[in-house]
Amino acid sequence: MHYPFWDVPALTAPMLIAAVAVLHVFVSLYAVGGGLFLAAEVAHAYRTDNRDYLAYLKGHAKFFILVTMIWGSITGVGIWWTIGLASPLATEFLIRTFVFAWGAEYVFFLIEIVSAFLFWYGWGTLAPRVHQAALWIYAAAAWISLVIITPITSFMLNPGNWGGDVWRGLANPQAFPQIIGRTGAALLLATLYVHLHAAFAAGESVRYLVVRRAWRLACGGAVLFVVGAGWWFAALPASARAAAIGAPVLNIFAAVVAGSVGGVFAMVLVGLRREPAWLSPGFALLLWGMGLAAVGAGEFIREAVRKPFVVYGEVYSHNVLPSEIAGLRHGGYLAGGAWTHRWVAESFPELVDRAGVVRPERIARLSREKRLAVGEALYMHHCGACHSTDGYMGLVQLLHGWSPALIGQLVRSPDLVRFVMPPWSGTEAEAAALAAYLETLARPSPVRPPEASRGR
Amino acid sequence: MGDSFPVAAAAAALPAPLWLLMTLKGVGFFLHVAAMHLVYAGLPIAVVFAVLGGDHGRRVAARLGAAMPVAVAVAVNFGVVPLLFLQVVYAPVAYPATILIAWPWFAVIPLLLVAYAGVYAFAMLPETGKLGAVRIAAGALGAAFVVVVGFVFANGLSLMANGGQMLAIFDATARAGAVRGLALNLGDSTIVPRWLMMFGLGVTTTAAYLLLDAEVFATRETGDYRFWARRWAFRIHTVGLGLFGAAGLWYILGALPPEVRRGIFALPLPHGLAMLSALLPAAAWAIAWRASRAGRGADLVVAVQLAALAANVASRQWVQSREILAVFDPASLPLKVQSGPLAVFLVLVVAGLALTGWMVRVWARSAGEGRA
Repeated sequence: MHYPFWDVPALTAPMLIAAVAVLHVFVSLYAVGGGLFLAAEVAHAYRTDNRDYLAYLKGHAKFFILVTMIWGSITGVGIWWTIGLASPLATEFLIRTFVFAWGAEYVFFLIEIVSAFLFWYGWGTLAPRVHQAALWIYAAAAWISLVIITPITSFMLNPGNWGGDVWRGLANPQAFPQIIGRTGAALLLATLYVHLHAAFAAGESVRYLVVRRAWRLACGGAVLFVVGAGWWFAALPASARAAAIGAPVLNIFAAVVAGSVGGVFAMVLVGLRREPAWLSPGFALLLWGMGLAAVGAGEFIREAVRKPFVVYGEVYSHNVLPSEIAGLRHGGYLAGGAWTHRWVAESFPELVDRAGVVRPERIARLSREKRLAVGEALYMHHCGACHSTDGYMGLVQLLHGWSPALIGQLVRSPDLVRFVMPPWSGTEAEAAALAAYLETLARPSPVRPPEASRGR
Repeated sequence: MGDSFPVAAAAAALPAPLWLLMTLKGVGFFLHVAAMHLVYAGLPIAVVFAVLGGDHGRRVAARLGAAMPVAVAVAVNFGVVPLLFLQVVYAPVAYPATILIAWPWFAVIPLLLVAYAGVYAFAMLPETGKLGAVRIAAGALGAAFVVVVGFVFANGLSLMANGGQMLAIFDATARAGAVRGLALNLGDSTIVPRWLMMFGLGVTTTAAYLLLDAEVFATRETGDYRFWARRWAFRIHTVGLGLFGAAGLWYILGALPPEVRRGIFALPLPHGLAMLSALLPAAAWAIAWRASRAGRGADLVVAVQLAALAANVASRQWVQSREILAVFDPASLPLKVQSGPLAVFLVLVVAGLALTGWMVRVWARSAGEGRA
């Protein structure tokens, strides 16, 4: 409406955000937890003068820098890229509100990059004290960047009573639980990356040492993750909590999170801690996979419960501001949107009056074919941010067996039919056009109603 | 329907005065282009040297390649800063432009991922043996992708400054009021000269770095190598300056909208910036000519080259704001200054730069001791 709508067939544009975000956290959390692990372990290796361990850590640092610099930094930028394409209005709102927090985050990214390179390129030439300092600076900067970005993402889910105050917005009810949960996830996931690398690249004695040194971090991380996740769930706004409980796929994902974290915790505490020889490449891959499953599923839940808003209370999921709804119901969605107005005026000049304003009431005068075309445009803008036609959340599947009366009710009161949907944001004539288009997607019910109920 | 550009009501107020946001955008862009130009032309040049360069050429390729991971990291990180402030100020044109070319714009991410991996492979894999060929292939792939990314950037940034072209693409590609995002802004006459200018400046920036490397960093290399590298740095500089000059003339005289061109020549500030943009690269080249023969003065070449980049950035900012003004005036946006967050941000910038400066100094000293 405010911006052109990007139609991503079968998937929907916001699902690209979820995909990029999940791929990003797989590595960004390792960048945070791995920095802390490396800082602590390099200090330990220097302190105990363990040359073998130091040599191993140098190899791990190379792996760490390659993975986090390439994958972490580019996918981080990728999230930026994707939100601007998929949810431009929400991005505009967030960027103008939190630009200085984002700017501060990039200051810490710069510190991360320079300290990581100083640590890596200075290996063997820097004094041990400075060498370790570089790594502690990295670890601190990486964690602080997590602390800065997390409140912005949690603000989108639950801004609390921020009242336009940026500091209060950053101190939103989800922020602290999410920081704790993410810190735990970072520690847990980092140890699983370390196990994975050690299983393939370390000799037996170093591998055992890695296990003995890492288990506390892994178990502590798992506990923090669970505590943070539980607190986060308790602090959710009512609609988000109801959305999480009410969606079967999210229930399954929650079970994946709990099962994976619990499983890793048990396998590390009961298994590896007692018997480091268990750390084979296969076992390490299993643990790492479970860690990714937990983090990925958790991240997906976080993205998915943010309904019916993209930014809670500020921007609806169909990229409309709450304050605009009344005006759109009166003057029309197509007329109210800068780009939809342009499209309608170009495609259907008969809907435009002499003053150049789109008149929704004229939709009824159009031919059926044109009415359906207008309805399809309304579907794109009003429904397309969450639904595809025949793919993810496909309306062909969801409307299977729906009668025209039910569809009409859905279109006119989507928020009453399902609270996760935004309110209808157009005129009655537009609702009729959208309903007519959706009826073309709805296939007849595959179940014949019993004779008795038909008789009634 | 008239061709008025659709601008919706703002979702939020500007968080700081426009001049400050524009300054931050410009400073961020300068920091980005300094590293980006080195990657943009440096990686292809390194690959060419690795393939065709003989013994000295392969050393140049290896030394240039070794600098690439740091340059890419800095370019990517600083690249976000101007885009951040650009979206704050120019949201009504920035989002439509990128959405209209959504898939090519989105493709920047996987392309950069591959390019970045290629950069590391080129920097870290051995030069000989079976992996030597993989190294060259990875570097070439990375270089090609970097050039493509540059083209997509030029495409998107040109489009957001061209409201008429945005509307033309929207009208041509919208189906059911939505766009698939498969278009490219190919009808804009400024893209190719702009892209070539950027590449020309990249070549001169790479040449300035090569000169500095041969003179200051390559102390462990033979005198013969350092002489050879300096000579080649100057030849590369000459080619880059020629390309920049030709593309610049094409851009200003043949591609820019007439009203913007008139503005450049009529107003003292843009006129001065344009003159500096043209003269400073030539000055860097002239100093490089002397430095390449004398074996000293590379630091001055780099300083003048950076000044040339700064002038180019300032000039480009002026042109961009002038072009966008035709469809959208950011001064019309509501303003609600976030004094507290702004102050904290500025303090963090100063502290962060101080810490970064200290680390770079330690790094340079340690590298110097390593060379000694």
